[in-house]
Amino acid sequence: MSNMIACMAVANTARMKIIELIRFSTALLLLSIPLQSIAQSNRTSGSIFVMEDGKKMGLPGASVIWAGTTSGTTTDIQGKFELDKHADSDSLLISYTGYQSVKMKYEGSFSLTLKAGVELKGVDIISRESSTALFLLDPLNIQRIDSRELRKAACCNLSESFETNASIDASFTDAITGTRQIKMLGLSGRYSQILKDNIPNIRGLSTVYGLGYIPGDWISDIHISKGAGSVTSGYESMTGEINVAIKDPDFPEKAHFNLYGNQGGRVEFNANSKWKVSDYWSTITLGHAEINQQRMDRNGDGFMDNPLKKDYVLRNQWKFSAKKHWEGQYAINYLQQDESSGQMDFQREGHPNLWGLRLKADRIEASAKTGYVFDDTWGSSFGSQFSYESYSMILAAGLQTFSGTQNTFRGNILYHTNLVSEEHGLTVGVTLLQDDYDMELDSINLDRKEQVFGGYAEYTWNPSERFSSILGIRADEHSIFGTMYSPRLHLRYSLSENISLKGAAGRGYRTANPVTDNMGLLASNRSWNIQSPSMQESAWNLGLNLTYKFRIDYRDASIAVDAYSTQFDQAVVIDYETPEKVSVYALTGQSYSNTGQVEFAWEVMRRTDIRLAYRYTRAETDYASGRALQPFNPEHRGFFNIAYETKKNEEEGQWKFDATLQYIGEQRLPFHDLQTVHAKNNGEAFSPAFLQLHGQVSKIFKKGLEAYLGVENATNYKQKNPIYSGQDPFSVSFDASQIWAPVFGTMGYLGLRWTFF
Amino acid sequence: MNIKNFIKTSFFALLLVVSAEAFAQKTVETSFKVDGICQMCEARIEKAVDVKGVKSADYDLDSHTLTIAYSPKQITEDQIHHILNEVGHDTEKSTCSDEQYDRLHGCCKYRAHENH
Repeated sequence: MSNMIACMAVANTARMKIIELIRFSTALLLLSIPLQSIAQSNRTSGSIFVMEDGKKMGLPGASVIWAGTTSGTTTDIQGKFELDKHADSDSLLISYTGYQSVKMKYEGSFSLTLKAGVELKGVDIISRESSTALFLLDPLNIQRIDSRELRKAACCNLSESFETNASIDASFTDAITGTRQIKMLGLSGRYSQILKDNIPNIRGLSTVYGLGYIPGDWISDIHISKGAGSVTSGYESMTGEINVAIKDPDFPEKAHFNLYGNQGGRVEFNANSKWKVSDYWSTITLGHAEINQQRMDRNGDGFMDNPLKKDYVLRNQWKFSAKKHWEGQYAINYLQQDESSGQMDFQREGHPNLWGLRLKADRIEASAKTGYVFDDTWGSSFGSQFSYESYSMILAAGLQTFSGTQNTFRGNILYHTNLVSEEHGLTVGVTLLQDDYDMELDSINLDRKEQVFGGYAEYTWNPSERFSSILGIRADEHSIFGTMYSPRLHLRYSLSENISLKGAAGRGYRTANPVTDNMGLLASNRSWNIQSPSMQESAWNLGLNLTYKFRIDYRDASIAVDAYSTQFDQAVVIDYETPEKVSVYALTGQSYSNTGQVEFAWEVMRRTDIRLAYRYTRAETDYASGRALQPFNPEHRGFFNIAYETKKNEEEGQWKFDATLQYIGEQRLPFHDLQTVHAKNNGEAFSPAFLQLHGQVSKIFKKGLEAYLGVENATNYKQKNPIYSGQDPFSVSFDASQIWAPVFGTMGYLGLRWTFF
Repeated sequence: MNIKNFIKTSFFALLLVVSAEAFAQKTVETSFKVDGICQMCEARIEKAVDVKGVKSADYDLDSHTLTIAYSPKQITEDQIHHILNEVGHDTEKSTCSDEQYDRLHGCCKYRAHENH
C-alpha cells in the first residue's frame, strides 16, 4: 500500500509527520475494514465514506483518479464508484476538498473512510493555487516550491532554482567557475541540511558543487524549512532543511524533454521517461547533459566568463509497491563532470604560462528505502534507508592542486507508532554514518575518517486543531568528537483560522571541510593555513514565525514575518581578511547570524501574483583581528516578484510572464590593497548596493508543449574588477574569489519543454 | 539606490496597480448556489467566470456555493449565471440546456446525484 512510502517520509522529515500521521490513520481505518474480494474483472469499485457526527456517511462527489494519470471518476450519491482499470496505474488517488487525500494500491473492491482535515501537501492540484505555498497548520516553517514555480527560474540546476524565492540567496563563489552557492538565514548553504528524496545529500566534498549536480528539470518539488530541522534526518541541520524531491514513477508525466541554450554558449539537455514493469514495479530514468564549448570573454578581463564543460548526470529509480504492506524506492545516480576555465587561451592539457582551472569529478550514488506498514490498530510502520556515495574530484587551479575522494555510507532505521490515540505519535530510530575522506591540497594532508552512531526519538503531540508540537532528541557518538546531543522543538499555535504562530529551537553539528566548503577561494593564489583537518562546528538556532492569511480587495493575500537567530558555540573561522592568505582556525569568542524577514504576497489582479520581501541580516564573527561583519553578506535585501499568466485556452495554452527584482545592500569586503570600492568612516571597505532584474516569458502552445525566453541580470549590473591582478595571474596577489555582484552582464536564454502524459 | 528607496519604489508601483484596479469602480460581493460535484467542476466554474468585471471567484465544493466579487458596472449577476449555464452548470437562478449539460466530462454529471 502506498502508505508505505508515507512510512518512510514520516521518518524523514518532521514537517511531513502530521500529514502522514493522518494518512496512516486513514490507512488504519481502511485496514480495519475487511476487504471484500471480488472476481477478477476489468472494473474497479469501492465506497468512500466520511464520519459525520459519529456516523459513517457515504461521500458523494469525491474524486477517484488513477495515480499518475488524468483518468478517473467521482463517487455517486452513496459514495460508491466504479471505474475501468488503467494500463499505466494500479494506485488510486482519492480526494475531496476538506479531507485528507489518500493514495492506495487497488486490490479489489474496498471501502475507505476519509479523514477530515486541511490538505497540507497537495497531491494533485487541479484548480489554480499559488506555486509557492506557505502552510498554516504545519508546526515547521515550511515553504513549498513546486515544479511550476521552478519553471520560472528556467536555468538550470538546484543552485539556480531559488531565483524567485526571497528566503534563499544565491551568489557566485568566484569569477572563474560560474559556480553558485546559496545562503539561508544569512549563513552559507553548508549550514543548511540538503536532502535529496529525504536522504542527506550535498554534504562533504560536494557541499559547493553538489547544488549543480541536481538538474532543475528533474525536480518535482522543493520543501524549504527554516530553522532547526527534524532529528530523523540527522544532526546536520543548523539554519534549515531543504528537501529536493526528484521526479519518481508517480510523477504525472510519461516522458519529458527539455532543451536549453544561453548566450554564453551553454547548452543543456534533459530527458526522462517512466515505465511500468509489472504490477509491483515501476521505474523512471532521467538523463542530463550540459555542454559549453565556446570561449567567451564578454567582460574583457582576459579570462573566460564561463567554464568550458562537459557534464553528464544519469539516474535510474525503481519503485516497488506490493500487497498492502510493502513499498520500496531504489535509485542509482551517476555523475561525470569535466570543466576547464581560466585565461582565454588556456587548454585543457594545461599551459605553463597561462593560468587555468581544471575540474574533474565523478560520483556514484545508490540509495534504498523500504517501508512496511503493520496491520495493527496503532498505525505503526517500519522504515529503512540506506545510501552509499563515492565521490572523487581533482581540481587544478593555477599552481595549486586539490584532490579528494569521499566514501559515505549511511543507514537509518526507524519505527513509528501512535501512542494511546492519534493525538500522540512517536518515532524512534538509529543511524549509522560513515565518512571516509581522502584529501590533499598540495602538500597539506586533510585525510579524515568519521564514524557516527546515533539514536533518536521524536514525539508529536496534536491535542487540538489550534496547537501542535514536535519534540525531538538525538544523541550521537562521534569517533572523533565524542557525544553530541541535538534537541529540537517545534510548536505551532493558531491564534485564529488565518493566523498561526510558530516557534522552533534546536541544535545542529557538522564537521568542517575547510577547502571544499570554500571552493571559490581556490580561484586565487592565497596561501592556506589550516589548523586541523578535523574540526567541528555546532550551533543553536532559535526562530519565530507569524503567518497571516487574509484578503485585500477580495483577493488572497498573506504576510509572513520571521525572526531567526543562529549562535555558534563551536565554529571554524575561514579568515581571508589578510590579502594573499586564508587562515582556517577554531573560533574563540562569538559567531552569530540574526535575521528578520517580512514577506507579503497578494493576488493583485486575476492571475497576477506579487511578492514583496525585505530581509535584515546581521552576522558577525570574532576573527583573529577582532570582531567584524561577515564579508559578502548584505545587511539589507529586498525582493520583488510579479507573475502574470493569461487565461488558458481550449488546449490549455497560455502565456506566462515573470519578473524578479532584487535589491542587494552594501556588503563588507575583506581588506585588499587593490580594492576599488568605497570605504566607510572606520576604514572598512563596502561594496555599493545594487539592483538585479531577471525576467522570463513562457508560451504554452498546448498542454505539454512549452517554449520560454528569458533574461538574467537585465539591469546589466557588473562588479567592476572581479579579478585582482588578473594581468599577472601567477603573482601572490592574484584573486578571483572576492565576488559581491554578478560578474557577467545581461544574459539571454531560450528553451523548450515537451511533455507526454 | 538604498533599501529605503527600493521599498518606497516597490510600494509605489504596487499602489499604482492597486489604485488603478480598486478605485476605478465599486465592487459587490455575493454568493449563490451552483451545481457541481468534483474538482474538475470547481476548476471549470472558476475559470468560466474569469471575465472582465469579475474580481475574484471562489467555488466551495462542499456547500456548492460560488462566492464572487464583481463590478456591477461591467457585468450583471444575471450575466454571470448565464456564463455558468453556458459551460454546463445549473445555478440557483437558471438552468442550462441539456445540450450544454451533455458536454460535461463524465465525472462532472452532477444531475445524476441530484436527488438528495
